[in-house]
Parts: sequence; C-alpha cells; structure tokens
Amino acid sequence: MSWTPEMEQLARLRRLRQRMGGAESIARQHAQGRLTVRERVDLLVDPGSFQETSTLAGAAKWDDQGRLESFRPQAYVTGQAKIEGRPVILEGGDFTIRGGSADSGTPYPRVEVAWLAGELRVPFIRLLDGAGGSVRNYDPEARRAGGDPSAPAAHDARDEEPLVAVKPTGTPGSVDLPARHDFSGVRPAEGHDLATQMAKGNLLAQVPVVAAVLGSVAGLPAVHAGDCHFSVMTKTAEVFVGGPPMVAQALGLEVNKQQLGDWTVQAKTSGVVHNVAESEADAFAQIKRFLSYLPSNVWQLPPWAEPDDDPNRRDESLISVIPRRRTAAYEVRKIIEAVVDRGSMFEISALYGRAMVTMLARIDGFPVAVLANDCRRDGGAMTPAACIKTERFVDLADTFHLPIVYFADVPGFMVGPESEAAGIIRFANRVSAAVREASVPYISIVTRRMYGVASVVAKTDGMSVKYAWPSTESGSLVAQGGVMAAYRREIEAAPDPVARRLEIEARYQRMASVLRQPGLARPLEIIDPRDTRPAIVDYLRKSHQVNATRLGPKLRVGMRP
Amino acid sequence: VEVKSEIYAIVSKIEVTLGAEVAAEDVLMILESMKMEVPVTAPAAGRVASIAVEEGANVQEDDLLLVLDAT
Repeated sequence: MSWTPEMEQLARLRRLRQRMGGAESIARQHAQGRLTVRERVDLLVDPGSFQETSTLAGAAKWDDQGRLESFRPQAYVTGQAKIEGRPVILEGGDFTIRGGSADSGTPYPRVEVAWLAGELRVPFIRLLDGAGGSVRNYDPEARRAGGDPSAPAAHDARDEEPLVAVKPTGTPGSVDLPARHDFSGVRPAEGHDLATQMAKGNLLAQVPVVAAVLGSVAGLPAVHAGDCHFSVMTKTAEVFVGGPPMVAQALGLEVNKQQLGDWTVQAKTSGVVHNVAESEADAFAQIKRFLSYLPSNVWQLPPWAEPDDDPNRRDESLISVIPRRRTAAYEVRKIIEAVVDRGSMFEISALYGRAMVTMLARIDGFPVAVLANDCRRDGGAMTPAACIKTERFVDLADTFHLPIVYFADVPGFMVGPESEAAGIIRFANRVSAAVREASVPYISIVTRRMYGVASVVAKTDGMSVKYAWPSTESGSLVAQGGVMAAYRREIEAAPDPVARRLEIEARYQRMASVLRQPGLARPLEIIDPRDTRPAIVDYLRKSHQVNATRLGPKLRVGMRP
Repeated sequence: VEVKSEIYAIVSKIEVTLGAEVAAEDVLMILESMKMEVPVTAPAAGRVASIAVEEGANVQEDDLLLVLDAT
C-alpha cells in the first residue's frame, strides 16, 4: 500500500490552485492592465526558481465520503525563489480571488514565510494587491472554513475524474495548516550577541524588506506598503488605509481611489512609497536593482562588484560645475554622475523631499548611499520632507552597512510659516539623531554652502571625514539675513540703509570662504573638485576593514526626539 | 515638446525669443526660487514655438513655460 492516492489528491488541489480566481476574474484583472500574481512572480524571479509554499491554503469542501467537492485557493501566493541567483522569499496578493481579501483563508502561510525570511536571513518581498481584513472575518464559521467555499471562485472539483476517498485531517471543511502565532517579540538565543537577540522578530533589522504596490491596496496590506526598506508602485495602482466607502462613511467625503492614494499622493506628497514604476515589469526591475546594492542580511557586507571604472578618474567638469555666482543653481545629479562608478546610480524617492537627493550607487565597486542637497529645490534647504527622507535613508544605509557619501550645499533648515507648522524643529532633531547614530563610514564633500545646524548632516563624529571644495562658504547663518539680524540698529541709522546693509553683507560674504576660515565646514582638507573620486575611493578602501568588523544588527538605544 | 516648470518660482529672465533655434541643454529661461536662480534647459534641440509666461510671472510646479518644435 503506497501513498499514491494522497499524492494524486495533492496534485489535484494544486491544479485547482493554478486556476486562481477563475478565467473571468483573470480576464478582469488583465482588462485593468494588471498582471495576475503568478505572472508577477514569473516576471520577478529567476526562471524556474519559484518554489511555492502552503499550496493547500484555501477553502475546501468535502463530501460525506471524504471526496473533494470544491476548492477555492487563498488570495495569497507564498514561496521561495531566487533573484539574480540570490535566495529571496516572497508573498503576493491575488486580486482575482475575492479582491485579494484576507477573508479568503488563514494568515498562517504569510506569517510562515515572513518567519522563514528572518530565520534564513534572506530578503522578503511583498507584491501587494488587494484589500485587507473583511467584516466576513467576524463570522467564526466562515473564518474557520477560510471563507465560504461555496462562494464564487471556488473551483468545482467534481468535474474531474473521481478520486479515491481521502479523509482530510483537522477541522472539517478546511485544509489544515501548521500555525505559528508568535512571530513577534524578543527570543533570546544562546550564543547570539545582544543585537542579534534584540533583532529577533524584527524583519527590518535583519533582512531587506521590499514592497510593490500593484493594484488597489487597503488595510493591512496598505500598512505593509510602508513597513519596508523600499517600496515601488505603478501609476495605475492605489494604496490607502481605508478606501472610498470608508471615507464616505467616516467623513462624508466623496473621493475616488486615485485622489486617496495614487502615485501623486503616496510617492510625491506623502513619500510613503519611494519610487514610481511605468509598468509592472519596471517595478520588478527596480526591486532587482534595489536588492543588487544590499546584502542578503545585516550579518553580511553589501555585495562588492568588480568595477569597470578607474578609481582615480578625475572628471574635468567638476572644476567648473559650481557657478561662481553664488545665487546660480546647478544640477547636483551631474556631480554625482561624475564621481560614482559609471552607470551605477539608482535614485530613491525622487519625487518626495526633493531638496535632498538620495541615491544608491557604487564607488570602486562598493555599494554606497549618496545624499546630495539639490539647490534647485527650495534653495537646497532642509524642508520637513527632506529631513524625513534623509533620516530614513541614513537609517537604511546604517542598517545594511552602506558607506554614506554626502554632497553638501545647504543653507540651513527651511524657514517660514509652512515649515514651522509642519514641525521642522522635530524633523531637524530626528535627522540629526539619525546621522549621530550612524556608524558606517561617512564621507562628506562640501561643495558650496554649509550653514546653520543643518550642517550636522555632514557628520563630524564617528568614522567620518569631510573634504571641502574651494567654493565652500560656511557659518552659523547666511550673511544675507544674518547681517540684518545682527546690525539692525546700525543699518537703520545709516544715511543709506540699503547701501550699508549690502556693504556689511559683502564683507561677511568674503569672510565666509573656507579659504579664510574653516567655519562649520571644518574640512580635513580642501581639495581640487576633480580629486573627489580618488579621495572618496581612498577613504572607502581604508574604512572598509573597519566597516567589515561591524556586521550584525545595529543597536539603537532610547528614542529619537 | 512642452517645457514645464518643475518648481514653484518667479520667472526672472527669458533667454530665448519666439522662433529661435535652440540646441539640447541650452538655457531657455531662468526661474528664481528661494533666492536661487534655476536655469530651465531645452530637453531637446528645436525651435521655440510659443512662450507661455512673461518675466516676473509666478509659476507653479507643472505650469507650462514654453513649447519647442523638436528638430
């Protein structure tokens, strides 16, 4: 007597599972310009690498003889796979099954794979499409059965050839699955250091977590869109904690899904989602690109790759990239492009907090996190959004041991009623704390202005170094404005107040040059801008041996202001 | 090709005239924002087909500045 009948039963359930929500639902998904979850997985992972887990998750109905009558798969696909040869774990919402609602089954398979990602220390990817919880979950009968299996989208199993009766185990009417509830919390383990013990149960402290918003996403999956290191959404997707019906009920507002949470809201205004993708294929390409800079977990170094660029390359454009007229703006991305390894730039969160540019790149083959003030936006001032973006990016770099390279040209934290009302003081404190806590190599290149408390983003403690270009000027505040504050009485008493003000301003302006006083820039050395790449390479190579000894989760003590 | 403002700013100087031929990266106008002069450059070579703003005008993000006929 062998177990062949059971294997046949299993194969049959798996065949039914491949049907997802059925041909009609799949056609509807395609008509919206969206792929099915299985097509998405195929596009994202290395060919043939996907190993699905919890294939029996769903709602099954059995007849009196224990024969399968129908099966509706759960609205989630979970499994293991490889991306560019490296193992990953992923879950994806299946919108074709009851709109991806959580009422379609148990949460265990998804908790299970998240757990696995933590234990195996590999990246975890969420392909989000679908609503979260449902009031149907209140019904204990339906919940135990994984929703009502007789509802549409359950696949009739009786049209297949009869099976040998196999009595399912566990709760009648459902396919039983192992449960592991205690996913969160600290679990001390023998032989682990304190940081590793504290990171237990906290995926963000251990492995890269990525989210893609690919459809209409609400509830818990919407929260997951923010519970990650990197998120990307398509222009046809939306994400919100509560959809239009809830908003109408709670606030009496008639809004559509796009107004609530399309890319202009979530990637531009709120900054919750980092990047925007032109298509689902583009979203997956961006996920692969993001992961290519990161280690599989915090116990490893970021993957070094043989560079095809000269470490001592001196880009001629750098000597003249900063305009001599101090009010003239320039495109800071051109500076980054001239310094990092050719073709290695990947901008994160380009549409949000635009006064600060954040990018992943490589220098001499080392993955690095690049920060750069963009003087074209808000004069390069640190707005609340720019502070929040910088704080999170510094945390990302610190978590995964990426050295930080900062091109500084900052007039200060953003002033004005809008900035104050948005809480600039708090966000200024938080970004300062994040920079202070960072223990990765931190290289600041001061290109022009370095004024005020915002200068702390050019880290001065720990494993940090600062170089300044000859165009650098610095002080506790910009001469324009600062002079009026300090010399008001003298200026007002002068026969020509405007001329007097301009005269004093010009004097201080000349004194602000780094050639005359180190000021807040306090560089280790003033360098020829063309020597920037060689200088960064030199520090990266030397600090690497120290960085390599600081692996593991980062301990963070206390609270951010 | 529509050239739009990427920022909230004042149009401080228009560097081209109607019908002018421009090369890619040529400065079309200067916007002023937060005391910084931000050049607006041509996304591609072309001829200036229309200018939608005047010097001194306030522009919002995504406002049309100028239209180029690509050459």
